[in-house]
Amino acid sequence: MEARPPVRLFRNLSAKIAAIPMIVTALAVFVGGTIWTVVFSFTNSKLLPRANFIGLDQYERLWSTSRWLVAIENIVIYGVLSLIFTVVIGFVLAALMDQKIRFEDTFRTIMLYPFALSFIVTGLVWQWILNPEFGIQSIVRGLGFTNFSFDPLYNPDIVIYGILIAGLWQGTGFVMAIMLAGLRGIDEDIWKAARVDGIPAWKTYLFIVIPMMRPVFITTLVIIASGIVKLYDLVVAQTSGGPGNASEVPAKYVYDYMFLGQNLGQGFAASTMMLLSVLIVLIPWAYLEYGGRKNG
Amino acid sequence: MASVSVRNLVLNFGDVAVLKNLDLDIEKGEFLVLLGSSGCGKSTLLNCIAGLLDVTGGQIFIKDRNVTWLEPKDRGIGMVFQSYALYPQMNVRGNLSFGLKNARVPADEIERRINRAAGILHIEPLLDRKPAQLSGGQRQRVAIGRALVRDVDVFLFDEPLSNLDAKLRAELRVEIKRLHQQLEDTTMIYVTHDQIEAMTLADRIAIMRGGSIQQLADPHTIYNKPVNKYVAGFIGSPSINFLDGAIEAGAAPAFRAGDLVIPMTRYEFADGAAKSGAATLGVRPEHVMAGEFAASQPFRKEATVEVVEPMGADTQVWSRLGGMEFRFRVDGQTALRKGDTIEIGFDPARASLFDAKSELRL
Amino acid sequence: MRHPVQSWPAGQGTGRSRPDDRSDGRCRGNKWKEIVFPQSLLDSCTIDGRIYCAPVNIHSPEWLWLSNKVYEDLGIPVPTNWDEFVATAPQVEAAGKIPLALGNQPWQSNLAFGAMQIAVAGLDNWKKVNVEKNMDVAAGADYAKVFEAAANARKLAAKSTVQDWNQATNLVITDQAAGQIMGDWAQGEFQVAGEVAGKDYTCLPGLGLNAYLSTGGDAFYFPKVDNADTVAVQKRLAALLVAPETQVAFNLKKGSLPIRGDVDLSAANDCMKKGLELLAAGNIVPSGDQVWSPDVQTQAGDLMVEFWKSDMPAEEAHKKWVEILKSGL
Repeated sequence: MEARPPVRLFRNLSAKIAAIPMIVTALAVFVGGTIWTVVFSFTNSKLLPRANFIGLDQYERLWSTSRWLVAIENIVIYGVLSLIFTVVIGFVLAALMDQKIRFEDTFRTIMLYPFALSFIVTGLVWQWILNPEFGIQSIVRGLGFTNFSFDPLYNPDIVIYGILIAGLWQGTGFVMAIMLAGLRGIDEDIWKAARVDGIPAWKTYLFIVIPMMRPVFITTLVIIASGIVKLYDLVVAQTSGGPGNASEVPAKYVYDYMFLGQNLGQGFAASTMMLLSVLIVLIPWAYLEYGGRKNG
Repeated sequence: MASVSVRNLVLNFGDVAVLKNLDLDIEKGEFLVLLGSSGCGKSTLLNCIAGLLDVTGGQIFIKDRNVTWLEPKDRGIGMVFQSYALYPQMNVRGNLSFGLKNARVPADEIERRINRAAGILHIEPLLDRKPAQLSGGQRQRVAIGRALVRDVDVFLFDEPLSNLDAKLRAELRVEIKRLHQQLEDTTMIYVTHDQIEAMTLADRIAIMRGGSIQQLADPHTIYNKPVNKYVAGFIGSPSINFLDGAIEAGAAPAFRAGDLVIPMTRYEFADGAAKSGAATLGVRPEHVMAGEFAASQPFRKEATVEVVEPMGADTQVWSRLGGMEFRFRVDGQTALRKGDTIEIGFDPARASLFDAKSELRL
Repeated sequence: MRHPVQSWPAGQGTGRSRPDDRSDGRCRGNKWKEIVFPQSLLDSCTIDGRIYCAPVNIHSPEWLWLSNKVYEDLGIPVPTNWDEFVATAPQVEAAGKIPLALGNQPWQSNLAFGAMQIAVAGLDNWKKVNVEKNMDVAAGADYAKVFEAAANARKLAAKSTVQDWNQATNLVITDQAAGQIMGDWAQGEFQVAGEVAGKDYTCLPGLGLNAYLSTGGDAFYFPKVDNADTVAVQKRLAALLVAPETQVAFNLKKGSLPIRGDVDLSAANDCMKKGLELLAAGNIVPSGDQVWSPDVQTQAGDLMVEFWKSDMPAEEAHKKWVEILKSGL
């Protein structure tokens, strides 16, 4: 009797059964939830979702709301700067750490400590540090520089940078840790080869090591980017969106309108726009990253 | 004129002495192999010569220039690493030219050197490929090429073949030998733990142990006249047989171990004459003749076969001599089985005697 | 029906619950329905005719707090209403002080705007807009004044850079700022700083214009227990909470108003007297009638936040505000 190959579907059956709950959860909760949110963003749902479709009204209102426009502007500024500075500072710190320094463990712990704090704590701490009456400004003035002025959280024009400072303080340590792990993964012979070739250290980092750390950088970017999109608690703790609405961010808009304003439709429209902005960044990148490889 | 000289070199990592007061002179055009097991300090010594490690004490000279505190790039060396250490995102041409461009070598000169290196190493078709698209052997050729384009007097190899499979390793070994013959003025220092590489490539071998050089000599001397028991045991595969016993000096000096008495009258003692005392006799398995071939040997003895290991061309046989484990080789066609008795013989003059205590050659 | 909280028949009053409860004697015969004022406080604590919580104070947000010293130093009388406050502001500013202290958090400017609505536009107009939803009134001249007042307040508070309400109150206490629009809880801060109402600081309920007070407040809830001893203690505590002496002592510290009008006025301070008079006169903001949806409230809040920290003209804010209200009709 000839043995026939088993039906593919039933191979590793127990493993597949075990994976079903996770698959269902992923599909129902993530995909289903996303689709549901997008669909109901076209309704005039208030406290509870109602399938009363009103077309693009929620989006029209959203994009004519100055608070939303401010929030978008803020997240763009915060996002771009946070991405750049977190990566640059994180990498530079990691590179410094990688110089076989003494007390590396201690430094690493200190750098990583802020990451162990919640955004709320970070936000409160920096609210005080940046408070002109108690924080940096008053200390520097106390040193005799009476004209010194540094109150980013109280100036609508620069408040987002005040939040950025706290965000960087919190996030760079973690990025440094990832980068350090990445640097440690670089074969030491590469460094030796570069030294024998007479390549200065900065050039070695720039042209050899950083390109080799591409996967590490991608991981880092994904982590930072997700942190940027969901930026909420830091703002709440530092400024509650103030002064005025100068430090509003999209996630806060979504929360406020879904739960305080009890206008689900508006909140959904805003969160759909957030999803859309993520996709606008993600899809071309994924296309370049994965689509290009097949052709090349 | 020595090409590379190392004087009183000391290197400590904290309290650990890695290199102990090392002296070494390498002639121009010489191929020197630093051989030893891992942790003996051979790679460390190479890194010191390259300038990749700061020495604790001593001096290093390359072409009579004191380079002890010079940067690697200024020492006139090229280096090849075990893991190839190619720059992965640059193609072969980029790997070869990166250092030169950085040193502001003119473009046509770079082109000339790349073409020359590519010609020597047969990597012309690979110039536009990335390292990921190359085989291990090709990568190592490129790595050698990167040292070659630097137009240097001293090549340093740090276990360059250890990451390759046996066949490729043999191929590339010959390649390196050819390269050395082609570049006759170039000094090569080659670190390995593989004694075959050492024996085949070296003009001289420095056997290292515990941060110092045990013996520095040509492969023939190293093999035939090891200076101590360690070197004798390290070189040779299968490794040398050691028989523990004592020397009886006199008109007809002999090595005695229990009932076993081996006359040592024709042995060339280092001091000129034998002295009585505990000693170890080292006999290489390949110097032992068995069966009909034993008849011509000055010392003969019956041996009982305990284990037979056929290896194709020859067969390794485990037996006992004077109650001690003793290996020898017979032709691969010889039919031997456990329990068989066979006559074996060797020439004691080709054996090595070591003092039991100091382990130095007698 | 059993409630998860302890309750007593509303008409009975707690005082007569235990004849042997001597310490409680003063309450005996008093019924809460008769003593608690305004009645709405007790209504909130009553379900199915049984009382389950003890109201302890009345909080209202419609107050303007002024530093007397700022005005004494300037040699001008302390303002008696918002208009005078605005009129004297340039002098205050010239003296290097902040006319109006205002925390950066959005709810504080919203609170100020809420206080101005009634104080400036008057209760009738307020009712027409918020209860009857009369959009003509909302868009009318009376409400335009509200936005003008808000625009003034915005100008006067421009130099106030603190974040929390009590930091703003502290500016008034330390005479760095002339005034603050804040709920009566601010008085707790004055108390702690050892300031005396009427002497060190002045309070103007309803900003000294149309003085009406809201009657929110805190209450103690009594969980239902079966242990008779615990019930007895609960009753004693409840009786103690509403006792006149407790009410005055507690509310002076807290900065709020007593829940009964019959307290000993000699113990009350200036602000408490003013508040009690208003309550007695029935100048109470109707509560629970405001049926703007949370969506409208949030949008209006956002508008205020934006208005307060930008240079949006009062007319434009007014127009936008009316549009937001209309969207909620």
